[in-house]
Amino acid sequence: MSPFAGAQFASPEVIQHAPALLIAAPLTAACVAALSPSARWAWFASLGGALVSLWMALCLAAEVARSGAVSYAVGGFAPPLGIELRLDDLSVFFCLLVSVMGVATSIASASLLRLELPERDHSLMQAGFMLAFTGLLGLTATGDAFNAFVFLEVSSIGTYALVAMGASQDRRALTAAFQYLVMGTIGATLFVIGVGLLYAVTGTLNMADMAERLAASSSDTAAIAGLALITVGLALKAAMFPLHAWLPGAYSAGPTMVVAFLAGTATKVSVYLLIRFLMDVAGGLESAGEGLLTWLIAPMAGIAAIVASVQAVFQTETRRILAYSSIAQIGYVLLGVTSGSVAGLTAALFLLFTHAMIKTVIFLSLGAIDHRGSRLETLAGAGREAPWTIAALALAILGLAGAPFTAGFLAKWRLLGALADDGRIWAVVAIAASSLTALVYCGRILETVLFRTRRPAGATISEASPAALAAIWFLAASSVWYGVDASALYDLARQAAASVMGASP
Amino acid sequence: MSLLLASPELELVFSALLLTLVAGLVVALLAARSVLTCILLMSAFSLTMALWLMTMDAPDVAFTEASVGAGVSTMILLGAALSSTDVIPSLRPGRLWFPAVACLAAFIGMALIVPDLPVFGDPGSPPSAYVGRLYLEQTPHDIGAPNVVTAVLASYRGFDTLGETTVIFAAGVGVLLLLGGQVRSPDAAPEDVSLRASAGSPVLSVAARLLIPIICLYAFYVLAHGEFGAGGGFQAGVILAAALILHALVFGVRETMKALPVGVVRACAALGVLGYAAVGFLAILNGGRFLDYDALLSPVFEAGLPSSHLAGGHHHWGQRIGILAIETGVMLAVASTMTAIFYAFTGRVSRSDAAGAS
Amino acid sequence: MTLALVLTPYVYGLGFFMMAAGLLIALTSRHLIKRLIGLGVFQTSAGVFYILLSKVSGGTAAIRLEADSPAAEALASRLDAAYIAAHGVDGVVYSNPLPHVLILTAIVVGAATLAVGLAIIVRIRETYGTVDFEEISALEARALRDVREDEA
Repeated sequence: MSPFAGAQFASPEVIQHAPALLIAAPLTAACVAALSPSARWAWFASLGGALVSLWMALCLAAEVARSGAVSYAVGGFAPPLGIELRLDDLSVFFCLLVSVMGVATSIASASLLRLELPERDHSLMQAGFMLAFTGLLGLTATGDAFNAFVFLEVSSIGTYALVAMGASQDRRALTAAFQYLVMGTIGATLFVIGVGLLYAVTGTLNMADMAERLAASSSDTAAIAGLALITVGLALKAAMFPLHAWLPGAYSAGPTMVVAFLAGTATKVSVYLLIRFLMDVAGGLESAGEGLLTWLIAPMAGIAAIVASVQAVFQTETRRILAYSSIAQIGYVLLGVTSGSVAGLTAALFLLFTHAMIKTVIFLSLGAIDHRGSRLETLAGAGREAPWTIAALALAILGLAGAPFTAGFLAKWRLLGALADDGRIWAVVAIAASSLTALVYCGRILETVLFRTRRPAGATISEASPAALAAIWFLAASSVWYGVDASALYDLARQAAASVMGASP
Repeated sequence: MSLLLASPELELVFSALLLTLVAGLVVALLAARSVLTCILLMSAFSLTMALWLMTMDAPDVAFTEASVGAGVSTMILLGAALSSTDVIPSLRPGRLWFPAVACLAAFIGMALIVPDLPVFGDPGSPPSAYVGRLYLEQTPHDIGAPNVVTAVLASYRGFDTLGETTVIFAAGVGVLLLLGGQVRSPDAAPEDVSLRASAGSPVLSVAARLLIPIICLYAFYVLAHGEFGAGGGFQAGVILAAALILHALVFGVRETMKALPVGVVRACAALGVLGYAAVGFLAILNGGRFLDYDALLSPVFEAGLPSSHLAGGHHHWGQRIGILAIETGVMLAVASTMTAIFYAFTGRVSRSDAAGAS
Repeated sequence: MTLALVLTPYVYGLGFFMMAAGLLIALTSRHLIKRLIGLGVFQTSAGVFYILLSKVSGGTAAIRLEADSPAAEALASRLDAAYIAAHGVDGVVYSNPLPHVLILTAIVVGAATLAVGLAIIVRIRETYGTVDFEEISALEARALRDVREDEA
């Protein structure tokens, strides 16, 4: 049972247009933010856009729980002529993920921006943030393969510049952003070439139509090549090992609000597209999607889990530790996705959601306590100056390490169980080894913020602003809640997994 | 835009030859060791590509490639490259072999699937026979515009175009964030990036005074004519931006910024996107789907308007007004974003020149 | 159609060559501006592939003509009636408009990427004093070493 069954968040007239409003609201907010005369008004615009999107995502979740997948023909043209927005259990799951993270980031954004950038840049930063948010929501909602490329670019183009704005704190943001731009563009272009190959075989761009025609097509070399290109392109975007080189730089040097939002959403949405294409669109191609999952993605995910965790241990900068940990987590998630069972995919989605919350909390709180310096030592003893923020940070780090009674623990436990049931012992070993390594770096962070006292000169720490604390604690408390009673989120994940596995027999 | 060569097969040969020329320019680009050469090759690449696109019956794309690829891109590339070192040192061979092998492998992999791809020019291939053909058949009935590319771009796939306008807007936001710190007011603008030797030359200024209105008029022609022939909001926006840039080159950026301050340009870019989205919202308020132009006018009102001679008696005023409205939004967004990008780049370049000189 | 069969591997081969060459430039050039140019070639070559799919032999641009107009008759004079009947729409053979629309979008996306990339490069030049990839890497490595030595 979906936790949204029977809920009604708006009148039917609004729900009918929810898929379009979900995307159009933050787009409007972006324009308003760019037009607004002051930083404060831009903040209100972004907050409003994010909240409307969350509202629409909730409406859609309820609607999908009530009557199954929602299809919206933009412009009134039925697919395959028009562009279809299509929301099933899987896409609604990711819509909720993106919009929750968007609202949390937006709440904290004004105070984070004040710490890092001059006021004249704030309204454009909010506009860029809303554009990235629009793009990611569009990606989760669209049912058209080329439209997905357009939203991929909408979500990326502004983001490159936003990451580069970290240069006011750390000049490496510029080179990191350039590398991110080159890799991101290569990824998106590989994706669009892949879509072109699928179009050459099927003659259509609508994903559902494409799936049907692929199932019926006789020769499928071109289709397999197309799927392979899409996989590589999305792997670049998702920072899947060994195509992750852009991520640590971007995460360690970008402005806090940008990194917090990206860490919680961008790579996750790429994983969504990967699932959509390999398990849904390629569902009819007997071995293609599954072959890519088993022979390309799964081994890389296993290596990522171990290598990235070990790399994280040897980092000296706090955000780099977390960036490598994110790469390892993407590895865990993909191991779950490739397990080929509903239980495995459910656990992977559950892990993905909890990890997004945890990482957003960590990045938000690191930025919000206003510490100058990127190295871990500059956080020594931060628990005394900023007890409230550090308490949330510590909770999140415990979740990242997989301590019992946290959502992180539950997610990993279920994932290991599902993988063991599928007989993927090597995957279980990889995740277990990686998790043990994670204890080392998580322990180091916890020890530094809670117990160390000697701090390098010049590093100052102060408590986060009330707005930032509200956002941080909202997410931290939810992650704790899901550690105690996971049923709501877990049911949502299971529905999502079942909907996509049902489509691929 | 068929070439009307003696046989359709000769047309295919001709276009393959042009594509060879395009690929030859890429070979030259691989070997080029000077940034300026690279930029000029890129520009030549875009122009030749535009010619090739004409042989492929894609005049709309050719128009865009020529104005965006060969025009605007070359201009901002030159602007950004002006004060960087020109010579490109070669890479150590040790660093080259892995990417080179990877690219070669990708090329071979792609070459292997050629037998599975549609034959060049095949009218029965899945892309040409299925949705592509449906658009050609349905457009007179659904949209009523002779140019099917415009119909698909602005109406059937109008949501893509909204996304695309958003991408341009996002690029403008990004460039202004990165470079815009100094170009807020005309007084802070750089002294002059006009052609310094000839600035104030009566010939140039008279020519510019004559040309700028004509270019602007042409931009509006391209905008309005998109329904009937090659053209539309993007191309019109680029042309409009070209008029402003010509003004800046002849009279100096400072003059242009006085006439059209950065704040106004930025607001226009946002308003363009907002206007596009507003058409979508208006359709929803009138009971249609997002961006459903048929819902823009009430049926009673539309019945009173004369029917279009092109559409076989169907009423398509909603579609026509909707397309014109969103194309105007696109034009506004593209022209302002391009101008903002131009301001940002010229502002920066001459600033760093001044810093380097002092 | 035999000529078309010979041309098919040739034109696709050219398209794929441009993809590989653009990718190579984007990944290996030392000058950041040349990297962006390579990226642009890579993006454009994706467009070449789409446009190759759109061509219909004997077709014309997708701007609807009346079948009895002079232009349509000139076009039709070169084709057999059976071909037009099978593949034409209302008596005229057109190329497929859909890839054109998609690539129009892709070209604009390419220009947007270029603008943002160049803006980042301008900032890099102001900050590091160079746009040479290897010099920048060396500068960053040195900065990292200095930080370590300060601590020691």
